[in-house]
Amino acid sequence: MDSSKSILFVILITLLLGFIMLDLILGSIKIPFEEIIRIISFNESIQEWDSIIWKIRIPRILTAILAGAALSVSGLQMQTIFRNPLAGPFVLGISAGASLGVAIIVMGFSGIITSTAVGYAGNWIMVLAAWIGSAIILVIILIVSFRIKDIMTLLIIGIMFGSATSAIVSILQYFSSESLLKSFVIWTMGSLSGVSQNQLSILTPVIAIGLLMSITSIKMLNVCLVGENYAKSMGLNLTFSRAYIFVSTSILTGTITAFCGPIGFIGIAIPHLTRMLFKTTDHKILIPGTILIGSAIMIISDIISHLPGSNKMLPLNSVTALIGIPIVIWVIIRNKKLISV
Amino acid sequence: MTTNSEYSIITNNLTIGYSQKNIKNELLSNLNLNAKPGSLIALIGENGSGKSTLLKTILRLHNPISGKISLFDKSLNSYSLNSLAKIISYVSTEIISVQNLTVFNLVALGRFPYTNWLGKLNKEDKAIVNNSLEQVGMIKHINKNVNEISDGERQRVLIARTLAQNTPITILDEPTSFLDMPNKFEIIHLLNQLAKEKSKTIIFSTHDLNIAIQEADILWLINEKKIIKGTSEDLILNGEFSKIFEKSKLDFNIETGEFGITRNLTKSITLKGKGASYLWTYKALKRFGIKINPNKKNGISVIIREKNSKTYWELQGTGETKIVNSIQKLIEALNLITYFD
Repeated sequence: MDSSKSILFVILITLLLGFIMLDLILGSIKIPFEEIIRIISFNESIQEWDSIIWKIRIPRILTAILAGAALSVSGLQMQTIFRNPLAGPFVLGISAGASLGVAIIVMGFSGIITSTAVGYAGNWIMVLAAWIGSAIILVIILIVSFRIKDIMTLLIIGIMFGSATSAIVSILQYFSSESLLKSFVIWTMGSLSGVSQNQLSILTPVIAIGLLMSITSIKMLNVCLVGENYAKSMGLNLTFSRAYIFVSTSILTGTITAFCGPIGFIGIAIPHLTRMLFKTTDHKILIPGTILIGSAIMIISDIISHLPGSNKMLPLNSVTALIGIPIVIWVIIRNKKLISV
Repeated sequence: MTTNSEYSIITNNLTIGYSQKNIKNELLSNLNLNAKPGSLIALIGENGSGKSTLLKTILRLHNPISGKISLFDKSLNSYSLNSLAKIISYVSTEIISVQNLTVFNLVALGRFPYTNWLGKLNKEDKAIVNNSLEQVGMIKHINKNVNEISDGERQRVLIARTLAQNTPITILDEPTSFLDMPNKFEIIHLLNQLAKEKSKTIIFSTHDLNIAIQEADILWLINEKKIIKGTSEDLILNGEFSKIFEKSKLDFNIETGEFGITRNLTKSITLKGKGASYLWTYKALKRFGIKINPNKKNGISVIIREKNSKTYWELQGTGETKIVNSIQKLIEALNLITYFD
């Protein structure tokens, strides 16, 4: 790695720490900066402030970091493996699959979720439902991708799956009670605040496994860039690599979607931003890069969605879309070339 | 069957093509081919005759219908993915256009079968990449993007990638198809040198017959689902070469080694002269449908004369003698003549 890239990493880590600090400070309840420092260095402070920091803000920030990292890495993996700049967990219908899983659990079998919503079982059922939903979509995409080589066809099929799952979700919505419907709709808007300390103890290891899998797929991703035949001729086991990368994407996207709802555009925009900043195709740099930038952008989105200084909140998904879409458009216009990743 | 290790590739009754369920579409059948280290082999055949399929079958990117392929006396199927990648490398027809992919990184991908799980390059790997680029004369572009270099340069870089892969066999599918004349010759000449210096077996498919005849050690000519093999000179002298053009309007001139569209030459004149000016006048006359008849006593004749290192064409037999100073003017003058004996 050359020095300019090392400097970039240092800048990004500093920025990330800065945004984390900002997110800790800004909130509907004003806590003085010195007090925050006291609290996070495990010193005595006012009980109420202490629990706001430790039980609300820090879990939310950790969730933002995990979500930003997971979605961005998933997007990067999909863009590389499909060799398509518009690929991402959202576009291929993986999030839609997760939504369907959650919709079936929340609205289809409402008994399960209400009786055990606070316990570990409820969490696991949500995670499992979203994960299975996203895995099913991924497996279908995988099977289709073995038969159809054309990338645009795959993309269209992904979008069609997204629409089909939305249709099924609509049916579920139509037949479900108002309160369940509302809880589902709020889930679809995306939120980082819903994840408790307890839930984080599930989310963190699962995302860590997913990220570890993507780090171990760096070599495969690098060789996938030049296309299937070249990759095979250099000794890549294509079937295994695809399955491995799809499983890690499914773990990352499915889990984040289960806990935070379908957060859009981070997965498409961040990998482009990372490539533009680092000017490389090497996933040894791109993966840590997307993790850092994804986390930072997610924390910024969180800060914006909390509308500092007010008691109101914006849906997280609207914020990420409004940040992500300009990035995608900017990248496309700057590069003038949509075909190649 | 010979099982001598002097052969790098041997095929036994190899039949290739596409089979779907019970329908078999055989492209080439019962091929008994062999190749030795240190030889450059040109695969020649019409579009759709099975050139790419044969190359892909040897690379194990495509399954044969029946028959056997051995590389260095070992069955192709007995190689592991990784060990095969150390034996045989590939340059496909696909154009690699990946943004931010540097020449160095593209060539470094050739080290894929040799590097660790992360694909980290050690000192030796880096030296091999540099050395490979030096051998194809592309070291000056090492830090450029593959999108910034010309087609000919990119083809050299892809050849460098096969050198980095360090395989005794290299297969190139139409490596000259997008190139201009000088580049076509230079690329194939480079392959010839590499085959000789590094004792590699290099097989390439091409439509550039002139270059193949001049540079390749062995030709594999596809005709009627069979492959005829031999040195270009033998195949020309025994008439095999002309055979493949029987169906088309193209004809191969066994004396000049040239290809051309068979023309109906109706008019005839006598031509006197020598050297290059004679040859090119002859070619121009042929293009305009005029045959040279050396035995003709009367009628129109053209005499080429040199004076003060300038060439003049004397047109006789039309009443008055006409002198012109270019072939274009000669043709114009001949076009005015309506009566040819």
